Amino acid sequence: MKAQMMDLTRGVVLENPLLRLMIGLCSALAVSVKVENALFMGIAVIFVLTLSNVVISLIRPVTPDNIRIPIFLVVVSAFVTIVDLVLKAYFPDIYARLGVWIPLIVVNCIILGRAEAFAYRNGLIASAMDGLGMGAGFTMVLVVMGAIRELLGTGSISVMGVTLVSLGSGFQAPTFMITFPGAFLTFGLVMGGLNKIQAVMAERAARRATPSMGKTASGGA
Amino acid sequence: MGELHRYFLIFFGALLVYNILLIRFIGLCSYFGISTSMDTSIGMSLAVIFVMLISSTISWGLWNYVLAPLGIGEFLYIPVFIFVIASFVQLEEMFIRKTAPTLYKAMGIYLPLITTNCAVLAAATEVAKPGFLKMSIAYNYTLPEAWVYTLGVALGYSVALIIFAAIRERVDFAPVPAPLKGYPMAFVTSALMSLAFTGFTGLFGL
Amino acid sequence: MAENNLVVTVSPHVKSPGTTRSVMRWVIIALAPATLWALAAFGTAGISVVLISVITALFCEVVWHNLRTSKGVARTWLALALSLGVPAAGSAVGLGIAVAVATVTFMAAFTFSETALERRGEKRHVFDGSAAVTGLLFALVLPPVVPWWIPFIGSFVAISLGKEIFGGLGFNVFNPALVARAILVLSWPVYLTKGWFKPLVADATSSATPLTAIKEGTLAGLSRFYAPLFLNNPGGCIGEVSAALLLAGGLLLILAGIITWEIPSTYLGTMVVVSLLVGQDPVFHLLAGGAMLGALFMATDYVTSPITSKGKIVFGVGCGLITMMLRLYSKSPEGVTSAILFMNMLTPLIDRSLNPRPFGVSRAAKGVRK
Repeated sequence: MKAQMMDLTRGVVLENPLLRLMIGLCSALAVSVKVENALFMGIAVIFVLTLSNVVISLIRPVTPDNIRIPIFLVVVSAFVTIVDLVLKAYFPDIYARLGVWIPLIVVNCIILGRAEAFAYRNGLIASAMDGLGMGAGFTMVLVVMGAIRELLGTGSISVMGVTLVSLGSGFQAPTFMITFPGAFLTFGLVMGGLNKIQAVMAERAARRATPSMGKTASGGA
Repeated sequence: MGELHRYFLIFFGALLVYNILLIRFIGLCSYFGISTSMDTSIGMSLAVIFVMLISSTISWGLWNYVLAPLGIGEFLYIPVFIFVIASFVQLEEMFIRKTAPTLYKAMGIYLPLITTNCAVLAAATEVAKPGFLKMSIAYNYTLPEAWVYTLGVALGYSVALIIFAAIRERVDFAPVPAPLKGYPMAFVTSALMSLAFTGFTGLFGL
Repeated sequence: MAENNLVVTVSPHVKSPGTTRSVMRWVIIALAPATLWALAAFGTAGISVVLISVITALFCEVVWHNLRTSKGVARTWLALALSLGVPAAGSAVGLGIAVAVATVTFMAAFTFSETALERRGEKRHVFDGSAAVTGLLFALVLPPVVPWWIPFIGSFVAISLGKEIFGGLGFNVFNPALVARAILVLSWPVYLTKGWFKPLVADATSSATPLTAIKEGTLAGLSRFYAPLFLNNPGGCIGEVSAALLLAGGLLLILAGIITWEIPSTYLGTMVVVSLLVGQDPVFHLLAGGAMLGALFMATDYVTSPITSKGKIVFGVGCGLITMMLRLYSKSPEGVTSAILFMNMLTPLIDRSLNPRPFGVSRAAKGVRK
């Protein structure tokens, strides 16, 4: 049970696919312009990732090693097609906004990366947990970025027509945030922020472990 | 509008105005991973140009002569294109390794990486089923137009990658603030590169 | 680690008496006539933009310096929080001008006290003049009539994103003032394209500026603009007020050996050639927009332009081509900012490819050096 919890939570922070493993970047940057887009994309990725991880783990015994990549791709594209059609039918404006990123989920490095690195070598439950965790981590970063960009870039956050947060009408939004350069910048700063938080936490842990070395250990900022 | 003029617009649009990496964000994983060295960047660029041209041709042919006439294009194009490109890359790798070992050494290692390179799939999809990578002037590519487009995309990818590699050579030695060292700074740099490319929006009416 | 003790720069290594401070001093002197003329022309609007921009730039530099060298970290964070938080809160409540004055005064005071404190210690890093120059150049590419927070935020962005985040002076890839301008244009396009003091109009009935009128093709006889553009242009960014004074300043820098002739002449020269080729008025294009300021003061920035003479020529030609291409064929009438930023981006590549051959090494052996 502990191992399964590890599989689940690992993908959220410690091995966050976007910020640490550096995979799945393309869609993250383009889609994070609005929290709504980020949420739907995140849910799509969780769906595809978990299910394809499960299936790939299940068909391990019958998968020949040298053509495994095309087989993974077929499995993943089946689920992505489901997502594609469902979105097109029931959420047409979101579908229009997510555009080319839906089919590109197939080659989303996260999905293939986890299939290769994990689902192909691990059991059913573990693969499912891994898929959920990685997907959750991905969605989390996407939503945070979407929140920052949408809030600063348009002055308010609205999901499915409901305004959640608003900075007031006097706020002159820097529309730079919703442009492409703004996405790069936000992502870089979020990553830097996470690095800083982890550095500070590591430093505190080190200081607690060896209190006598406190002064010298923290000398190198 | 003459055909040549149209070619020019398609090419210029794909290369600069709608640069696939910095304006369309497609293909970023490899962009950040490969740009740490100029040699790998050049190698990857060559591989990408080669693979993209051929995959786009295949996907264009598949769509126009198989998928669309049969009416199954809408929901089968994803797996079909992907399967085709992946298999093609695998074949290509084996072929090059046997027949041109020096070429393989120059770009062979990047070929498997290209299977998961979003840029290749995106360009292939666009020439067959235009619309997602919208450019304001192109709606249905003929085969020569598809080649021009793909060449523009591939060169746009290469140019951005090589420029980035050159800049990273400098930035990686600079006293950047500690939490930003490495990848975060690469993103900030790309933000400014993207800013420079944004200046081309609206050029020639694109 | 001994990282900071090992300085890696490209050869040749020649020691000269010039220091950063002396170079910056020359640049400020060269910019002074045009700036003062602009301040006279634009009155309080112009003065406040320049003041806010320069003070914010200096403040920002002090903040980064303190945080980077871990000196007075707590009070620096506090000062930063105050300088950003107070205007934010104040504008939400609607206190506008009072908050602006208070913030700027506070920033000036903090900067002054920090520098005084440093004077007791080591080298006077902050007043090496580079922040002041960035602040001034940034002010010069802004229109005179803008809300106070435009130069305020812009200057912060120029110093932080354009320079300090890369590691400080000498490490940035892009021209800081232009980075800030580009970001601001994407953020608040209205303020950056409308705050003219007294717009220089081509046609009184349509209120189009000359550059936009050229695009629409409704312009004939541009020579009537020569005099105002050259001497006293009331309709444009602060730095565009007098091409004559900018030219004088640029020549001064060339004569003093601060900048070399390659970039300005190739930049402006290419613009002339291109405009002649398409049948437009070359003199007008030289005088209009930020061409003079860009070619003489922005493109020539040491850090962001190539080192070798051949590289500089490539750089200048590239800037000229892109500027004209954007002016002639794109929706936006001004191309200098994007052109210079684009060429800045190519500079590491240019430097890399046009590396001078080391003395004594034959061309064949060059491939060994990676």
